[in-house]
Amino acid sequence: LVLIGGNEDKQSGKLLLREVAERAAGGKLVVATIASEIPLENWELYRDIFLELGVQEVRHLNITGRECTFSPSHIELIRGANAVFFTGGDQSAITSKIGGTPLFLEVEKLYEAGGVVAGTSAGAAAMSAVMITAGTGDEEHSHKDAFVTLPGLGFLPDVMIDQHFAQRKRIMRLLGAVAQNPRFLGIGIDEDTGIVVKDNCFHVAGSGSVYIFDAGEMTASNTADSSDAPLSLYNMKLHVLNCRDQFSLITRRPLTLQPSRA
Amino acid sequence: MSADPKGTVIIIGGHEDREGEMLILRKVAAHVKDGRLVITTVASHKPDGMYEIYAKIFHDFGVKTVDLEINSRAEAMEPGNVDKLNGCSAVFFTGGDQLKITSQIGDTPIFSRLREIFFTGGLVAGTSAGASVVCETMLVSGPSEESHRSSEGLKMAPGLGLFKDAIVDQHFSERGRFGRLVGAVAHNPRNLGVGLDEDTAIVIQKDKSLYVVGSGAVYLLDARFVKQSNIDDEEDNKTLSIFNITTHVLAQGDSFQLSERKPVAGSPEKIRKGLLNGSHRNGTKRRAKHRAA
Repeated sequence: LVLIGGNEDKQSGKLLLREVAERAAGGKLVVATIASEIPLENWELYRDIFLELGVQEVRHLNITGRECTFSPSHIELIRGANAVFFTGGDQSAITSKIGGTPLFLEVEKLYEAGGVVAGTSAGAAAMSAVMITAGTGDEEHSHKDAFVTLPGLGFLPDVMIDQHFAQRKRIMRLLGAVAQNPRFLGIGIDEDTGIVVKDNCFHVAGSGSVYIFDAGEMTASNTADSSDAPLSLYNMKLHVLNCRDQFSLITRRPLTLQPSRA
Repeated sequence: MSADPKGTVIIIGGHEDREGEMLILRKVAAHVKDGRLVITTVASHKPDGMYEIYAKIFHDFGVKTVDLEINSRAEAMEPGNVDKLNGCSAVFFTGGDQLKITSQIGDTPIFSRLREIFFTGGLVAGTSAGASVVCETMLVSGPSEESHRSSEGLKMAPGLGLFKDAIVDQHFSERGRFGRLVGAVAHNPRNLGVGLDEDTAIVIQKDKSLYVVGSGAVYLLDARFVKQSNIDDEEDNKTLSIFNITTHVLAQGDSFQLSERKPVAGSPEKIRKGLLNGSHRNGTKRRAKHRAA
């Protein structure tokens, strides 16, 4: 699983897309533009990059409506691929169009067989069991109604992802979402930053930070209050990780890969 | 003079409500007690009209105000300006640039009088830049809405020293300043990181506890238990890495014990009703009652 916080470098080092490309290597990579309002432009952009990064075969999964996901040709597209990459846009477009369909079962099979499922922006947000999306309240004023949580694709259980984290000032909505059920770990991913998840552990890649909110020791929150008060919660643990760090989803502990002093 | 603060600090994350219920400005008015309130626009580049806006609101709350406009260090030395603080029990700093405040009044007679007011039980209040400035070390500027990198222009400077062991940032969620506050706290985890949303204030009493008034949230970052960070790495452009910061988000009604660094829940509605029922005379009443008993 490779999850990117959006706006990844597409010009110079292409570090994050390289993480995806290297894992797809000599096989077939499918670019899924389901979340996007401009699927063709997105497809062409990523096709060129992935081909340039040495992926042997790059194909386009263009899903315009839910009925497409039952078509054998689309299912055939996933079959035999060793990577699927979800582009950005609207995460609820992804879940509402492919959730529970034969196509989605095919993506799950690919993942279980050791294939790569990757996404950027909305494509990353949709991967967790519960995903966060915009609500009705003022996001910039720590308002409890600023976000809603919806069921995601479930590749990453017990985790909630928010992307464009620092850039779109999303601290409150991730904190608020985690407070709703502290069983979930909150992961905020900055732009041009990603996490590569394998065997219940992930490492950080890219130029920015990843913020982990662990509410395991949270002592109080006003999440369940009906009032439209701003958020209040006590004792949330925070880790800020960079590209030298990794994190265990089992022990919920961070660790540094290399000694930080070179 | 004792170094123990006897006064109250009220700091606001900027853009406090000046038209609706004005809970925060009511709170400031409530702490002025019997003396006058100095409103100083020293942080401002263009103070025109700023004093008048605040003065009108405070007059409506029954508070007498004094206009202290300072545009240079020389003006901060002028006896005429220093005398304006006579008979005052509270000082309010409007927004602007926190460095203008410290560079113009630091170690001047105005600053001595300000400390006198504070250490004899008075109030020092400020909004936006006027909030950052009360710390021992104040956050001046730094990048926002991006990942925090240790080499990228986080600027701090010595502040007024009225709120110890804390670093304050304002317009907090509105301007995406989370990363830079974490970075500022990482420099010396002894300091509690305090992020104030707009229209949100904390009332700090005698350096012991604080409580929240206003419509947004207050983010507290406690880095005492941090065991590892890369803040002192010599490498350039290092993206921040730091583990184990305890985070609290407080809303109106919540309070916080500064010595034990412990949040305590309270009632937001009680604070609102107290302020709307004109309890800015509450302090006086309570004292009177105490005497009677």
